[in-house]
Amino acid sequence: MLTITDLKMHFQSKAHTVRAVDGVSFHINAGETLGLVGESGCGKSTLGRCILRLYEPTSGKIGFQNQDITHLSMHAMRPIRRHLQIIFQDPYASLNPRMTIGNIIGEALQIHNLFIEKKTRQERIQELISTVGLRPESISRYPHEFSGGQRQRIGIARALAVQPQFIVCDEPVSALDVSIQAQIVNLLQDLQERLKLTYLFIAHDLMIVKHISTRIAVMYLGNLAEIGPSKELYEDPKHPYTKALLSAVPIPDPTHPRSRIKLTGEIPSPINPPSGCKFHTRCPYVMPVCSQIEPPLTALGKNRQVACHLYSSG
Amino acid sequence: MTNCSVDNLSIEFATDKGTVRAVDGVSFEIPKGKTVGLVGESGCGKSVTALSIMRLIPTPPGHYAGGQIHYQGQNLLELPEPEMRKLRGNRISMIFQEPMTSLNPVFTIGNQIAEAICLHEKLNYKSGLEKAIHMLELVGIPSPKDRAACYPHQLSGGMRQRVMIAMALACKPDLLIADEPTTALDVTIQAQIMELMLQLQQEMGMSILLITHDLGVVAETCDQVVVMYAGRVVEQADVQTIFKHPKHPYTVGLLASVPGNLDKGGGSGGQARLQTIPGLVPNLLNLPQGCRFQDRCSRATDPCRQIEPELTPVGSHLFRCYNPY
Ligand SMILES: Nc1ncnc2c1ncn2[C@@H]1O[C@H](COP(=O)(O)OP(=O)(O)OP(=O)(O)O)[C@@H](O)[C@H]1O
Ligand SMILES: Nc1ncnc2c1ncn2[C@@H]1O[C@H](COP(=O)(O)OP(=O)(O)OP(=O)(O)O)[C@@H](O)[C@H]1O
Ligand SMILES: [Mg+2]
Ligand SMILES: [Mg+2]
Repeated sequence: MLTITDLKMHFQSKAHTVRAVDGVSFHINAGETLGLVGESGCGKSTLGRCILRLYEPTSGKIGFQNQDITHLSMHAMRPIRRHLQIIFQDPYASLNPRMTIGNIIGEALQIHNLFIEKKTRQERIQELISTVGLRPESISRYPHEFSGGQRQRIGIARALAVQPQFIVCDEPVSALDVSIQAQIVNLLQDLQERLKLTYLFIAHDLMIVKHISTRIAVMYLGNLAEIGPSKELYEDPKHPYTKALLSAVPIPDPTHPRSRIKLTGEIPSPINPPSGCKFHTRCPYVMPVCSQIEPPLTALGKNRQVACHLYSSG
Repeated sequence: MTNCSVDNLSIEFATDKGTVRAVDGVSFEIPKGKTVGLVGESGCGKSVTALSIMRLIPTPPGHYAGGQIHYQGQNLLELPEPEMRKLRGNRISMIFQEPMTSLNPVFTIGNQIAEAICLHEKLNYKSGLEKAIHMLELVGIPSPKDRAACYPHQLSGGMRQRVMIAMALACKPDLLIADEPTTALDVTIQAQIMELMLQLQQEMGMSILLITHDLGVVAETCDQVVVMYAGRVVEQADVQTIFKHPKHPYTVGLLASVPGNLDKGGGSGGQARLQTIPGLVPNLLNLPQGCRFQDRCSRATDPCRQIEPELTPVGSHLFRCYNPY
């Protein structure tokens, strides 16, 4: 469905270069959900936006359904864009405050000339509003009249409006309370089965990611640290960063004892990333080689890959 | 000792369909040096409650419809605006739910934090900026000096959120209102931020009102928990009691929705479904007679459809239900 190869996205400014995405490769199969997790600022949203061509990548390749879309023109991109949608991280900033919810969803339909007749369009909008669990009268209300979680549902309705095949879900449930999180996650799963959708699911809540993902990719400072089937990765994390990440998950039980792997050392910056393995400045298992050579992403067993010298034979 | 208490607070909004009572007779206390968690379904009035403590409800369309908010002996709702301004961002500070809407896009983040510091502390701009950079470092922003020169749009979502946190903590407030402070953060940084907040709490006796839907964070950091539903407090108790002996069916449903409790089916990337609370929150413009949770409640009986239950204490555990668990 989607293949990205050695994708890089560097933001250039007068003073410095931010290496937000620095050579990432993976593929997503049709109908599956690839979870993408990693430290805040490691490049997850940037990667998602590159895939949708909202950013022009610095280098690398993006293939969608056997077509290289990396350098397609706006015009050539148009029919494809409909199939690639995004649900944004920041629900408020992504909704036009002067438009009603009906118009926000309707606009997406209009751009792609779908449900042209007024009555069917109105019906489609109502259907979407109820699909995401908002009240019918929401159609004539404005974004500021909704709470944070309600706004996120509006964003989901908008993304679903054009019946896409692939959706980048950039923290779609972060702003929601757990009961609604659960509803939305179930909804995304139902829609996936019904409409054969494929997701790139970016989130910080590792329990949700585990729940929804077929496979999971762990990112650290612009690179993939590890990728593999979700269950295996949780039960037996390989990369030291993945281990630390999993140990930090807060547990909803006030009596539960915790044993958190504390990451010490300064958090590195994509402006001036460390040499060798980018995680070596904070890694509890650091070896001399780690500061010198960047470990490549190498296969470990049948369907897992990890970028760590601990697992390179020799 | 109580640092801040909210007494029978009601907040209304005028909409073109009528008046919405977003917060309806809410009361709770935030003891000195303690953390109170405020949880509840999206739209139940958590942010509105938080904003009203800061006296930041836009009026109109908002309207303080009743009740009091006491902070160190004074009723904040009666304080003249210039007095309130002195407290805000200084003694009482808030981390807002939507960082992008509360950061100014045309100023660098270093500048914004420094301005906030200089406003309340007698510092020149240069020392203010130095302190701002130090705060950015404390909240885990790498290359804080370079980052201080960035504009909000150049930062990732989680970095913006940390900028807000740095700003809120810069003046070492005495009461911190944190509205979903760590939702955009990964768990390692979340742990670091929560630790920083708890450390400031221990050092200075800061009180925290923590709004979050992450029940893991609640379990790990809160002393007391207040559960809201459709503008009402429905349950309130210490953290152990809420997690071990929840009484209100909404609280029970909330706890059951956590995906962590679902190891059996999880990770298969497909079939398993999370447990949810069926149905929708009632329309605030058209509330049912009786309990507001009745339509979604498996335990609802006739009395529930007639008279809304009172928030009743059993020891220090309060709940609003005729048929508690
Ligand atoms: N438009 C931009 N201009 C300059 N730098 C940018 C821009 N957008 C993102 N960056 C930088 O790229 C890096 C990665 O940002 P990105 O938003 O992809 O992170 P993320 O993994 O989504 O983080 P979060 O979990 O906090 O949302 C950050 O260092 C950020 O400052
Ligand atoms: N300016 C406004 N005009 C009209 N209604 C409003 C306004 N602000 C808030 N409301 C309503 O008040 C109710 C409570 O909103 P609030 O933002 O406090 O919810 P919340 O509990 O913080 O939810 P979330 O978890 O989604 O952030 C919502 O139903 C919302 O629609
Ligand atoms: Mg992001
Ligand atoms: Mg809120």
